[in-house]
Amino acid sequence: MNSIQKNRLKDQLFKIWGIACTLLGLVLLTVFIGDILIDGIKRIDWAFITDLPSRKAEKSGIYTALMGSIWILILTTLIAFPIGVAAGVYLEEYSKKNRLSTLLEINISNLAGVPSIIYGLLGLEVFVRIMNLGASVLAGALTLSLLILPIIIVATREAVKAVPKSIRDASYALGASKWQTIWNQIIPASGGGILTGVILALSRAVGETAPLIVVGALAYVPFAPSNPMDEFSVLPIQIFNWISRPQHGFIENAAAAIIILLLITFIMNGIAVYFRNKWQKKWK
Amino acid sequence: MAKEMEITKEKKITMQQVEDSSSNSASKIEIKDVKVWYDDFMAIKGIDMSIKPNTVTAFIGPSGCGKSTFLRLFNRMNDYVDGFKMEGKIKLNGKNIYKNKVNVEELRKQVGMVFQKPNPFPKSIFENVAYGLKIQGIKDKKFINERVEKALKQADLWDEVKDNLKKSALALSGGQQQRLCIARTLAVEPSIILMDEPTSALDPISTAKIEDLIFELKEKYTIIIVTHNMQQASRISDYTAFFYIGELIEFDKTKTIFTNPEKQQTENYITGRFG
Amino acid sequence: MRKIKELLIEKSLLSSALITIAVTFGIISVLAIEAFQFFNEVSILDFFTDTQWTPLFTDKHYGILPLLSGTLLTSFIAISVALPVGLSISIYLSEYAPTSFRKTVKPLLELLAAVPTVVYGFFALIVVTPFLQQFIPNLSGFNSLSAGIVMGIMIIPFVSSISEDALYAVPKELREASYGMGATKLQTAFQVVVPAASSGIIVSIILAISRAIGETMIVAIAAGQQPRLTLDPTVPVETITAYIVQVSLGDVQHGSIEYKTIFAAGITLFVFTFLLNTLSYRIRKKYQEKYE
Repeated sequence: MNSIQKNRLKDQLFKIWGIACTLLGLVLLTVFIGDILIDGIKRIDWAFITDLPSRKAEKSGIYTALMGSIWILILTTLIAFPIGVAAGVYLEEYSKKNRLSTLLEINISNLAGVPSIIYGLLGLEVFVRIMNLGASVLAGALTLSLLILPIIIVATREAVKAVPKSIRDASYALGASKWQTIWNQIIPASGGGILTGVILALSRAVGETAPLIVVGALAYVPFAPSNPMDEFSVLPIQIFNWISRPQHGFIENAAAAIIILLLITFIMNGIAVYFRNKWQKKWK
Repeated sequence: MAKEMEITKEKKITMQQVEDSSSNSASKIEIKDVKVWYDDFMAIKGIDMSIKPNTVTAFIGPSGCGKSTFLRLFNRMNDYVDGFKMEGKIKLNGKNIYKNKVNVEELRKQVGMVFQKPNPFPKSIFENVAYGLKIQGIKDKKFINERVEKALKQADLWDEVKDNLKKSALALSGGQQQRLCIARTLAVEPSIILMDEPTSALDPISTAKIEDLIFELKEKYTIIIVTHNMQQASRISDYTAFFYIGELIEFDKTKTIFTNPEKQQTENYITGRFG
Repeated sequence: MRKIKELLIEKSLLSSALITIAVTFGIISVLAIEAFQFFNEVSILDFFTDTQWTPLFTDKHYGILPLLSGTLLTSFIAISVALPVGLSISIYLSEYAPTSFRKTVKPLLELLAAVPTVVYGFFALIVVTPFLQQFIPNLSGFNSLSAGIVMGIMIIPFVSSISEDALYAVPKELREASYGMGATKLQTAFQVVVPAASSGIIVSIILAISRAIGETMIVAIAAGQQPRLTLDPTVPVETITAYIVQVSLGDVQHGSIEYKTIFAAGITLFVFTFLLNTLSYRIRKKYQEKYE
């Protein structure tokens, strides 16, 4: 084989290798999910969703954890959404190229890379201890809000940046003030992109386990939260707890709970992608 | 008869006042020794000029000679550019618009602008034209509907869109979009309209329509138009100003500029020897 | 009047942005203060040189090395999976694959990163370990190999997405010059495009490493809770992050030395990821300038 043929062979081999790698991740994911479905699908029934956790695997349900997750989701949205969007709008529309803005940028980029468990430590000291909120849903939601804040800020910035300058020019030329331009033109125009980012961030928050464990979310909670100061558990922690139990029944429970968690995650991601496509169409 | 509308919690304005403040009464523009810098670069090197109301003035000159910069002085759009600095006076009806206490947003209700590339908002046709009124706090639906219709008629677009005002502005053709942008500007009833190469992105038929429009509009408005197209300038303007590298070389009646210019440079540009 | 309203709005938006600085300040203060108190009782030298980590036992040792080795071992395994696979995917998608394939596959791959880590932990413990035990008979039920492999799978999109964006951004003129000389796609990819996109690729690798080091649930579930200074992937270990979880699940007194250990561990983790993230930010900024 001369060198040209050798090179072509290598080229083809790499192509096959590339396809294999690409499919590897997806195939494995399918295998994993398939396994989970096999393990867990039989366990899912209405009782599973409404039962409280118990020492007996067959009687244990996800009710308290599911309610906890919903509480966390709602509270985190209420906290992180306005702050994140406000910060993102400020950075894109108001801040000038000075030291403060560079510092803010570097800082946000850094925060995005901090491991989630560190946020848990922060939440433990500041929200649970110093602010005396205890291991409450509120403390958990505040902690997760800080965690996903950089994601929302970055998504907001990208969405706002995509609005063409000509729109701003037209608005100013008609005598609109900066805030009028932002409120009437820029935020509506970037809304889809912002929404996508927020939903993705929240989807991440729903699956977070470590920071909430550190903050003190309990693995065994016999009641669903009824106010923000209540103790709580969430779906991922319930799963973690069941995995750690030796009886086989709990493995089934864990698998079943995972199916529910994945369902929630994938639906949220799906909605986000839907919004992203709708929004991107706007600018074609 | 004054109708009352609530605008903001701060003040009530009567419709009569709105009509008055935007009336197209004499709007003379005086430019005195105006200089402009972008950081260290001197873009405008000292210009004096006087523009008569209800005329069309064309700014011509080769690319980069400062005509767009100069145009944007009149509605202070240059304020947003980094490093912008200006000296001199620009007086609108005797008042210097660069005085510190001047409310820039008020100024822009008097001095409207149409841009080179049509830039309608990604909203409906109606919302586009009504936007200028909305941000003034005007809420009276009947008033807004009337103004929108009036503006679209003045911009020669009403017949084409009247059945479909809720349609997205982005669905219109390029020429229609530009007429929409003109209608949007007219709805606020300014006295001066600035146009920055308004037809350079359009096809010849749309261009002709807009040139006709400008001719009609000059009865009620003072229009300043920057254009690359000398035939356009000679067709539609009453006065022409020839700019070259930040300086005003010659300013006179259009007929004079194009048939018997004073300066050699002007003649060279007109006849195409450069630029 | 209007001006005041505008100013107020601007200032309140600014304060939202400043919250981010407060967060960083909070993280650093909390870690530093508790760690400082920890180092009042435990010497820094011991912390870095003792080969045992047993704060919860009666014979207390506070050497971070076992936790560090657990973290680094699992991360290393993860990167050895994610790096070749992720890079190959990025090169394939950017240089070979038809656009339609790329468009369908890219979001699917990002799905890998969207799966909650507790789910991956489940796979590692319940599926991967028993599977591997068929080939490695003395593979312990908790080990860093399974955890590392699964973590690697989770990280693939980090490497592949960012690298692919970097490769895609390389101007096509460079490729055309190479093809014009008769080079194959493979040669062009590795000798022209990859070097041109190297800073972006390096950024993706650094970010992937940082992600692996900070990962908690996969290792907490599948790698074990036995701090052990070892390079053996078949035995249980404990990572820094898993230790913090272990303590949080237990009944540790606030203010006790055991409580402070999680902050000492935390600050070690933070320093590592902070350095990596700063490095990747610097490289990203330099690389942006190149293409502007």
